[in-house]
Amino acid sequence: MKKIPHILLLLMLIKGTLYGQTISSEGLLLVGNKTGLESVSKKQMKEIFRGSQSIWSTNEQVIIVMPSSKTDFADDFASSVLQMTQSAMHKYWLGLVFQGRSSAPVFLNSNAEILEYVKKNEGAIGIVKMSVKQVPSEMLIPIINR
Amino acid sequence: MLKNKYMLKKLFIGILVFFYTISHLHAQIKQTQFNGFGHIEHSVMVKDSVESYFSIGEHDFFVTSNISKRISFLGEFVIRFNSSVETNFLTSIERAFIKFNYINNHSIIVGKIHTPVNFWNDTYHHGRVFFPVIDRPLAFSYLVPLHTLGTQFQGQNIGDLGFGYDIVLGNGINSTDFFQGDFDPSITAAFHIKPLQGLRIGVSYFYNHLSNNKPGAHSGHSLAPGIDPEMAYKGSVDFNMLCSSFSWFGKRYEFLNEFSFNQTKTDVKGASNNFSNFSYAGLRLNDKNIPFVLFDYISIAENDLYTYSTEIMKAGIGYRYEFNYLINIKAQLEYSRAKQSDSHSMQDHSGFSDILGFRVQLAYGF
Repeated sequence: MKKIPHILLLLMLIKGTLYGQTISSEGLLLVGNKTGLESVSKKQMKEIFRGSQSIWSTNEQVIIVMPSSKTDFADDFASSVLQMTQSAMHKYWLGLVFQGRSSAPVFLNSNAEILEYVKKNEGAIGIVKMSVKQVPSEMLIPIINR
Repeated sequence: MLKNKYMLKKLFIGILVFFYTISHLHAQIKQTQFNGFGHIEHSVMVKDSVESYFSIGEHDFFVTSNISKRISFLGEFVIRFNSSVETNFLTSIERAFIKFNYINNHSIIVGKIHTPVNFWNDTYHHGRVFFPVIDRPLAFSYLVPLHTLGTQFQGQNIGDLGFGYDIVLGNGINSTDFFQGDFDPSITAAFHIKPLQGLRIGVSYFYNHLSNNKPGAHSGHSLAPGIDPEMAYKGSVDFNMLCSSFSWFGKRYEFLNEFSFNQTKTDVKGASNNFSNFSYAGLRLNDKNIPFVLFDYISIAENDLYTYSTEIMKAGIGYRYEFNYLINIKAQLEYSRAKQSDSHSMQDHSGFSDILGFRVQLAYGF
């Protein structure tokens, strides 16, 4: 019986290292609406924001929502999520849309706009720079730190 | 004739106004996007004499629209210089298709597409701002069937290797955008993998039996330099083409190789084996500066009656400066040598022609 608190503590530590809601030191959060995602790995998230998926398991169309260059975290998003510069990210997406291989992503100018857009559009997924408290819990998608 | 041109102009303006209006109506939900691409060039060409001139390049109006959750539209409309029309500019629909995304990453496309035979034709289309060098590979002027009007089955980003397929059944090379007199469908089967970010490896096969060879009916089907289209062979041709593409666009190094093997078969001259290879290598010094080299070669056999015999080589060095993702400037020093065959040449003289050129291209998106 004495070991139970230790086991619980260990489980909490493991959970803490495996799951987190921030994806970078700047505290970016992943938010979604009817995506069917319970959690995603960083690799999965990168692939999603590179347009590798067009329909979610919920049958909703994937709508990528990204911070525009007017936000103060566009650079951080591009480097931490896509591992590229903001300019390279725009070029990549313009090329992808031009090829007809993906629908155009939605670029929005603030956290509030991104959150509002994701909230209103089923299938939308986006990144915001906010505290966890400011985001409705049902919209948060945990990131597995691996 | 004049009335037709006037109507065409009005129609084109109407299309632009329509998409502009739609894009504003749906601006809030971003269902429709309207983009454009263009380029302006300056060339100094040293042949028998020296020529120096500015050129206004293709201007490309590009529209995408999500019609429903699973159905989308893509259109690409180009205005380009053409001395054979009175206004000196010609409009064309380069791509116009409806895409039905029936299951994740698998789609059916109906309309006019760029035939997905290689990386270049499937990726860059008419947007010069995406081109790593100034021109398309030489094969695009003689061998590559640029467009197909038909039905395409497309799959992409499948599995860990990022496997993709494109199966196309459509009108043949000798068709127009409106009509094909014979039953000569073309078949394209293309496959690629994208195992790493920036890497794409692809192969494709294209087949078309042409009941009659109609040079010029389809863009991309041009005759070798010096061949008079009126005098060209009009009989049947079996056209086969195998392509392979290797592209690597990494953070520091860029490399693209496009190889095509083409066999045309006629009753008159039998099978003719032709090939082309384009190579590009660039070194990304930083976000903006990319010096590069290119080598391009095409060889059409002596007994070919589809394009007619020729051999062209082009080598160049250049520099690309990317102001941002929407505008870049390329400077390219190039040397090209073209050879025509004695047996098929319809010019008064045959042999080699050499051209040394220095070209600067300002390419932009808007």
